[in-house]
Amino acid sequence: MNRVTATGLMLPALLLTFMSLAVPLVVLFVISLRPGYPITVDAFGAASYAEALLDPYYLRILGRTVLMALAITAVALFFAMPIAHFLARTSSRFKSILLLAIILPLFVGNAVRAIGWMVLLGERGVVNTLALELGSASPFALMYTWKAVLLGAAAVNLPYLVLTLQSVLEQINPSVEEASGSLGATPTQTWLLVTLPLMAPGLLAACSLSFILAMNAYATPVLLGGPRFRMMGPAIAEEIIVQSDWSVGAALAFVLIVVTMALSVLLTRVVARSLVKS
Amino acid sequence: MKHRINRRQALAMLGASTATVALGASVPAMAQTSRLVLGTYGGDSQRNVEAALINPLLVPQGIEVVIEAATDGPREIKLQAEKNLPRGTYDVVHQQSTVLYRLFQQGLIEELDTSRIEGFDQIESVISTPYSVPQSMSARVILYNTEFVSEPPRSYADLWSPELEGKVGLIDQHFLMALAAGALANGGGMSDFEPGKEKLMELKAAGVRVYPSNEAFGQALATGEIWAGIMLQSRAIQWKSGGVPIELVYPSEGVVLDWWGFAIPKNARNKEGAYAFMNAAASDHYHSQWATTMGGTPVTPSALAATSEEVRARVAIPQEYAGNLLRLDSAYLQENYNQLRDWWVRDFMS
Repeated sequence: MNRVTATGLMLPALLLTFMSLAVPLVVLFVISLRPGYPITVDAFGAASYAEALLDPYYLRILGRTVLMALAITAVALFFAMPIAHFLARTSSRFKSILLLAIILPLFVGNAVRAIGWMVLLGERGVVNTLALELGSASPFALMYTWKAVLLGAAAVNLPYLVLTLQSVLEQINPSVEEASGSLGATPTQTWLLVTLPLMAPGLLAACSLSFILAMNAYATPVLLGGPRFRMMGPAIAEEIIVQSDWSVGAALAFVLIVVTMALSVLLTRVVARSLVKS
Repeated sequence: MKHRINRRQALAMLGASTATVALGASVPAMAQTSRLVLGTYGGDSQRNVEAALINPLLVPQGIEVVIEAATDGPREIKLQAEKNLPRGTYDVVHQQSTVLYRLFQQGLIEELDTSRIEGFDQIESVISTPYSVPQSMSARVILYNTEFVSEPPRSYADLWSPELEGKVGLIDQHFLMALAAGALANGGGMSDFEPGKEKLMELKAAGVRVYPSNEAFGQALATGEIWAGIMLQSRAIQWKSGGVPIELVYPSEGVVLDWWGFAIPKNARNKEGAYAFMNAAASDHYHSQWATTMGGTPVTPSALAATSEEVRARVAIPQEYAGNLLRLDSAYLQENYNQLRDWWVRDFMS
């Protein structure tokens, strides 16, 4: 296949990507520069960006979103690492069933999974019923708090992390870890000094994926965080759908895109550097 | 292996693409007289509109109604985005009354030729507008759980009583309902919600709970998580019929009528079909059926008379309150919507 034919075959996919990604982004950017759109359209200007970047209300939401994305990634990683390690190293005949159990939640929408969490975490939900049975004086306030969002979003991201980490770990030859052990390293030393550096690129990719998903989360914060705990995704939807201010909503969307990209790159570099040093 | 597309193949592909596009473009034109796109709410509202309006009244006329279900916001946005298109997505939209007012002010929906809609002049005057046929109407009531509340509230002001401290629930999407209640309890009115802000801050300090949806509110009321709140009479009737231990009270400050309506976008494709829809929507048959299944109050006296005595007893607003109906001030809400929402989101909810 020559280069011209190959380019020709790629063209439809490239055009589709351009039309479905680049064109809406350009339109969104133009809207972000037209304050008041679509109700009262003023002259072109950056007033919506000034509001998105200087209003303490939005800055608080952005800061909260970044913190939550970091926490969600940390919690998901905490649970994903041992699961991925087990799946990568096991030769059990139940491995495929375990893998299916990890993948299965991806077949169910985020909103449906959030409803499951609502049943668990509600004031009269499973967790609180058990707590009251066990002697708790009053039910815990879990629903419509950051705790519910943290749990729900970490569960959403867990399969992505497990699958990424498992494929990375499977590429590391177990004999390397065995060699480390035979040279006197404890399992912890082997994991920290051999396995972790070898899996660093995959680990960073998995963390970036989780961070990006958490930064842009919508269904989980809306359903589990409720109206009081606001993250950026719901705040953007509020501007556009409820307040009919597309311009500020579009500006907030670009702020979220830029902050997410910048932080993903920054975190990847910082973590990569610290791993190289160690 | 090299494979190049030759001239004949390229021409055949081009021809096939053109034919496909032309066929696609011709379908709406062919179907214009019988196919109608309705933008409405999903869930039981959609099911009942289908069962009481579309299936019995429009299908026999040969009108096929295609439903696009969403909430108010996405429909409003689509209408705004399609403002300059000669033909929009919807032939009929179903919206909340204040949204309809806004759409009319923005020139997105038609002023109706009411002479073409039978029974239009019978519509309850408090909710009659030149741009919409009401789809449903319901009074705002106070709800309380009878298992927990010993002294039933009689007015909005009673929601601030010490017995209900920390046990009142509100709903995020009905923030204007909460502000109106606060205003009416604090010397304000339907054209001045400002006094309501102070009252709601008192409620916040007392530990008010805010829910994201009607369903979450209903569940909290049923389980005793909250003991009282403000709701639509139609929902209250549904919950009560479902066995939830609640009673409803018409507030002494006045009864606010909330309503939803159908309207025709200016760039509707099938306006003839849309007027047939409007006629069906104004019919006694539809409103009496809606009252029976959904607990809405019929919008015309004849539709109310068409319901059974038992249904009438449930859905009619009692005579002693009929003289104290409060009209929503759409112009005030249009002008103040964003500042009121900002206050709600930034000060009350934060």
